[in-house]
Amino acid sequence: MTHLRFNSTVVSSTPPASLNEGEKHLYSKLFEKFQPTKLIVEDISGGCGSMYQVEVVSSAFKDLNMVKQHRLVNETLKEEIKGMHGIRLTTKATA
Amino acid sequence: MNFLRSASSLALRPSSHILTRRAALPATSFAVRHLSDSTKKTIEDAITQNKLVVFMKGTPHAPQCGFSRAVMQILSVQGVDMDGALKSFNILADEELRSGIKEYSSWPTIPQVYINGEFVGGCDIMLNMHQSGELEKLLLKEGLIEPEVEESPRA
Repeated sequence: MTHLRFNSTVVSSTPPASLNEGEKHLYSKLFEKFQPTKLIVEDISGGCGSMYQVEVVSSAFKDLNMVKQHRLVNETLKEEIKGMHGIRLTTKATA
Repeated sequence: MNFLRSASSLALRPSSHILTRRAALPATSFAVRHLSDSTKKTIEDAITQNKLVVFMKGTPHAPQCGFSRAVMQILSVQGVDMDGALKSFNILADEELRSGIKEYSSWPTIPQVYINGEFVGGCDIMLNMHQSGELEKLLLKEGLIEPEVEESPRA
């Protein structure tokens, strides 16, 4: 069952080197909270950090509807979101 | 602003698979610190007296943020009567409502959509429900849009 094991592998705790400081910060927070199997954090503001695109796939979202999944992320990034104009959020439960 | 363009083009492309359940009730338990009684009443009256309420930046015909614009486009594409069935609040014109609605819904961003008194979501969730077909089902159920009638061929 290599396929299944691959799907449930938690992503690296170290943010990819290509991320900027703001992205790394969000990445680390989300990693710690969700132990995600997929985690993408992208500053889509052009670099000023006012807009982020975030995708989290985690077993923590199992059996939760989308509003509840998003609430968990919103709560985790509560302080950070206050300083943003917007955030695009995609969440999914690990298969 | 690429995300705006992608949001609106996606909004026009519903897909067929069905996803997730209805949104949960708004959690109001810790909404006591900044939310005044009068603002809370404004919100509660609005969402109980109107089937469809959107708290947004700008107005339906002149949104002042891409996320609010995308939600208006989605509702419009769905066939909602934007002047009759939709009740909207411009939170840019009311600072107390702006912070109040975030607390009331325990949701940090604008826009926010309420249908039949229930918090449905913001732009991402509306887009997702639109694509899955779930939004159409909900709007039909609440009588906010008419079922599509197949035109019979003219004689």
